[in-house]
This record gives sequence, C-alpha cells and structure tokens, in this order.
Amino acid sequence: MIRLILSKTANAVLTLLIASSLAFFLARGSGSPVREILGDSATPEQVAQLTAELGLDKPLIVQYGQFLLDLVSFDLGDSLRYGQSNLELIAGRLPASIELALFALLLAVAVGVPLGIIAAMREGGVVDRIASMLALLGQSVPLFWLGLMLILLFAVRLGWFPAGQNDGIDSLVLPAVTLSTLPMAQIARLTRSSMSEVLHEGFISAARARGLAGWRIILIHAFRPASLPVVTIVGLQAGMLLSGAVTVEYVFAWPGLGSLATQAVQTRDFPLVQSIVVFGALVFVLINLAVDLLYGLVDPRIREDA
Amino acid sequence: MSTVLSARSVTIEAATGAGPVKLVHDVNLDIREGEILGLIGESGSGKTTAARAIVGLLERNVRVSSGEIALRGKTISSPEVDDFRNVRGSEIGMVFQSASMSLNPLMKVGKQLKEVVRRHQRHLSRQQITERLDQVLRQMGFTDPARVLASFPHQLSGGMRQRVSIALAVVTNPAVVIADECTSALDVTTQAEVVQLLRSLTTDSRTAMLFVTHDLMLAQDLCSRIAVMYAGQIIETGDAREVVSNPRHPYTRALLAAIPTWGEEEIQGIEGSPPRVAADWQGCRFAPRCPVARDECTRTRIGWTPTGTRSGARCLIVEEEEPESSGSMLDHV
Ligand SMILES: Nc1ncnc2c1ncn2[C@@H]1O[C@H](COP(=O)(O)OP(=O)(O)OP(=O)(O)O)[C@@H](O)[C@H]1O
Ligand SMILES: [Mg+2]
Repeated sequence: MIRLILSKTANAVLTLLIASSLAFFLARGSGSPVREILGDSATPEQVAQLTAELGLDKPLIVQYGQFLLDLVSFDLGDSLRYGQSNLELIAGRLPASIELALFALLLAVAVGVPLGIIAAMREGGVVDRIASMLALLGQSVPLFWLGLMLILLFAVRLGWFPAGQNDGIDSLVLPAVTLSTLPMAQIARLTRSSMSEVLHEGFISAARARGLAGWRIILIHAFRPASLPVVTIVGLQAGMLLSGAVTVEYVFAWPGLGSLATQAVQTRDFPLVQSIVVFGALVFVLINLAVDLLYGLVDPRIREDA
Repeated sequence: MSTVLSARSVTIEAATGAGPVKLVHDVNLDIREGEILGLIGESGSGKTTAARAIVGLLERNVRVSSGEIALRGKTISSPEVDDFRNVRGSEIGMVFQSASMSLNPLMKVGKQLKEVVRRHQRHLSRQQITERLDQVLRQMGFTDPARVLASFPHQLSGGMRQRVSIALAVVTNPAVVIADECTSALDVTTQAEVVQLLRSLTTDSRTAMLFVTHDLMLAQDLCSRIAVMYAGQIIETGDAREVVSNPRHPYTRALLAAIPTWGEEEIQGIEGSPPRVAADWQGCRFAPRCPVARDECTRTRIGWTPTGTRSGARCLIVEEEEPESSGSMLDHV
C-alpha cells in the first residue's frame, strides 16, 4: 500500500509539472497583454516600461524558470486586471464552483448509476433503449443551448427557478441540471457496459446457482466489481466540473471559477489564466490520486500487487 | 434407494437468428441417493446445457421445450414450470469448471459461505453458522479453516479454490450436486484429491451427483453409472464398469478406442466431426461417422433399446442384438 501511494504520488507530481508548463507556454504564445492593459493610445515608452515590469522582456527560458520557482513556493502571482493575488481570486470563486459541481455530480450519479444498472439487467429491454437514447442526447446536446432552453421554460415561462446568479438553493437547480447531463450520460453508459460485463461472469451464474436473492446478486456481487471504472470516471468528472464548468457558468452568470476563467481569457490576464489552469490540474491530479487509492480499497488484488 | 433427480424426455431448444435449434433432445436421466452418474461426451454435445437446465441456469434464449425435470418426484422444470426458487442452492448445488467461475474475487471465502447458509438456513444462530463452516471446510480437507475463511480467493491455490467451490455447493447439505467438468482445469494430483472428496461426499452424505466430464476413464473410476451423450442425445447408459468393459453403442466403442493406453502404437481417433446443432434431423446422428452404419440408420427414427434394468442404447444394431426388445420408446432409467 505504501509503495502504491509513493508511485502514484510521483506520477501526480509529474502530471502537474507537465500541465503547468503547458499552461505557461500557451499563455505566452497567445500574445502580449500589455496593449490590452494600456489601450491603443499608449506610447512606446509606456509599453516598454510595463513589459519590463511584468518581466516579459527577459528570455522565455528565464521567465519559465522564475515561474517554476514561484510555483514550488506556492506563489501564483497577481492578476493583471484585478491587481489582486491570483490565489485569493481563485479562493473567492471556489465555494460557488464546488457547490455547483458537487450538486451536478450527485445528480449525475444518483440518476446515471441506477439507470445503467437497470439497463444492464435487461439488455435490449425498454429501460435499456430509453437509457441509451438519453445517454446519446446527453452527450450530444450543446450545453449552452440546453441551458438557454431550461431558462426559457423554467425561469421565464414557468417562473419556478431563477435564471441566473447565485442566491439560495433555488438558483442552483437549473445550472446543476444542465451541468449534470454530460456526466450523467457517461456514468449511465459506463455503468451499463461495466455491469453487463460482470453479469456475464461465471461467478454471477454461480451466485444464482446458490439461490441468492436477486438484489443481492446485483448490488453486492455484480455492482461492486462493476463500480471500479465508474469510480474512476466520477473522479475525472469531479475535476472537470470543478474547473471546467465554463459554458454553464457563463450561461447562468454563475460566479464560479469558470466565469473567472472566461473573463481572464477575454482580458488576456495571463497570470490569472495560468493560475486557473495550474489549479485545475492540481484538483485533477489530487482527485485521480484519491481514485487510485480508492481502487485499492475496493479490490484486494490491486492492494497486494502494487 | 430412492430416486432423487430425474429427467423425463427433456428437450432443450435455443432461439437463434436462424430459428430454434435443439441443443438437447429427448434426454432421460435418473440419479439415486449416493449415486454418481457420469455424463460423458465430446465438446458441444450438450452436457453443460443439460447440467444447467437442472439448476435452472439456462441462458435467456434457451428453454426446456418439452419433458420435465423432477426433484424427488416434484417437477421443478418443464415448459410450463420453472420452480427453482426453493431448491437452488439448498436442494441442488452446483460446482463449475473452474473456481474462478464460481467464486467472487472481491469477497472473502467466509463471507461467501455465510451468505449461502444465511439464505437457506435462517434458523441457524451465528454460533451454529460458524460451526457449520468449520465443519464443511474440514470435510473438504482443510486443516486450518479459520485461515481459509479469512482469505480472498486469489490468496488460495487452484486446488484449494476448487475445494472451496465444492464447500459452497454442499454447505447447505443439498440432495443433488451437479459438477460440470469440475476437475478438468486441475493438475493430476489435485484432480485426484478433488475426486476423492466427491466420492466421500456421496458415500458419507448420500448425496446424489451428476458428474459431467469428457474423460471416460475418470468417469469409470468415480461414477456408479455412465450416460454417453452425442450431439444432444444420450446414446448409451449403463453401469460404469459395464459401459467401459462392454460398450454397446458404436460411438461408445469409438470413444474407448480413442483413449491412449500404454504400449499402444497408435490411437484411433474418430473420423469426421460431430454434427452441428440443428432444428430437426432424421435417423442416427452418429451414422455419418459410424463404421458399421447402414442405409436405414440415416432414414428411420432410432428408438431406445433397453439392455438391462437400468441400461440401454439408442442404436439399430443394438436393437437387433436384443431379442426381447422391440426397439421401443421405453425410458432408459
Ligand atoms: N445460448 C445458446 N444459444 C445457442 N446455442 C448454444 C447456446 N448455448 C450453447 N449452445 C450450443 O449448444 C451446443 C452444446 O453446448 P454445451 O455447452 O452444452 O456443450 P458441452 O457438451 O458442455 O461442451 P464442452 O465439453 O465444450 O463443455 C453447442 O453446439 C453450443 O454451441
Ligand atoms: Mg460444457
């Protein structure tokens, strides 16, 4: 178990380094933010001065070294636009993002997993066909369109829920439903295929031959091994929803990380963009690490092999 | 000795893209207390299908289309009846080919055993369950039951795993055990251990057993009686020693000739291959490969010819050899 943790942690650090470097170079590649900040009327002297202030006149490799040094000391720098520390900005938006992501994920799991299980129990049956249609829809409907439609119907027409902003649990419903569709579809599909595979295993027949109750076979014998890939994808989605709910946050004017990222990109606030990406990668890597360790807890064979 | 399990004219059909096909045709079986019936046959002859039908584990596209299977005289399966609820796991236990097919890899052995006992013997106290598990594992030849109970399947050797599977099948003291090639995947020594175990199970607990195998010599050694299957039909039954020393059906003879023995220069394989599953057929299914077949073998319906009180064969030649029989449709009990 110790070895498992160590090797997974090393992996995580490496992933983080690669993601941060990518963020750094992509941000530099997108052009200088100086003109954006100073406007068109700025003199060449002003431009040169700000460029120097931001350290953008130094060779790229030196900038990169500085970036990495800052990173290991947990210094993500300051935002160009807000003049505030990036870390504070992110921390300020984080609660709203977590709230939205968590709610969407819960919804996705609560609907996707049972749907996948029932579909697998009767392959080709009614539930299976409905589920696969829903899954296809969930994966192909554009989120902004779905979000707008939900707003039109439930906020404008029926007035059941507010259309945007974050105040109270009511305002959480529409964005969470919108955000949950893609992970819900993926979870349902994966649960179905994973369950159906396990249900064809010999030990399920054997459990049946022993006369065990149907629910016990499905939930305890089949779902437990079938849940491993589902756990993985739920973990991945948690990371994705937390740092990547860009469209949904935009449509619903949700004050989370996603809308912060949109603003940062629009204003070429590259330290902020960079910081959000690094933070997103960190979340991703941490969740992955947790999933890997969880795997070991569920499956005794993994625990011992590693 | 009373009959525990019987199959009467059981035909099993599978729905396929090309329409229904018969996997098992007109099978009659009888197993009595303490008796081991060996079901022999080449790959694809329908042994597993027959065995699974007895436990009610047929796949969704497969069903008993005529005949009936009865446990102590009570019908558990027929085209109209599907009543395994009260017998599966309690009255009938099943052991599969390999332990990896019967043990849940993520559950400790103890938990899997307890689960079955709790399901079928609700009146037992926790203490009594513990005692029963200890007892059944000792019966299966384990000297340290506590350690086995606390193990996951992958922590045990192949032979131990198979003995655990048997324990799972017999922990509720079933009247019948169906064993489908349960020794085929084991090495010779382990195989001998498991065979010894099965033998003592039937002598000590008077369990009736259906032992499916393609190994005729093993069947002769372990079983009291043998039924030989070919292309979905039983073509010969009889006392185990009798079938091996004095086979009546040309297919059984061919099977015996195909067994390699010490000092023999060459083994005689059976030419050709068994027919594929079909919706219907005429005559003897072995005729195309049979060295002594005649024209009429492929044309007439071949009935069952009793050759003794509990033996018989499905062959025109045997029919002619048996003077008192008229090639009737008598059950081959
Ligand atoms: N669900 C099914 N649908 C259609 N055909 C099937 C089905 N299950 C089995 N069969 C066919 O039925 C025949 C008998 O199969 P079965 O598994 O009973 O043979 P077997 O005697 O156990 O063979 P083996 O020695 O290889 O285990 C085979 O031809 C097989 O292809
Ligand atoms: Mg088989």
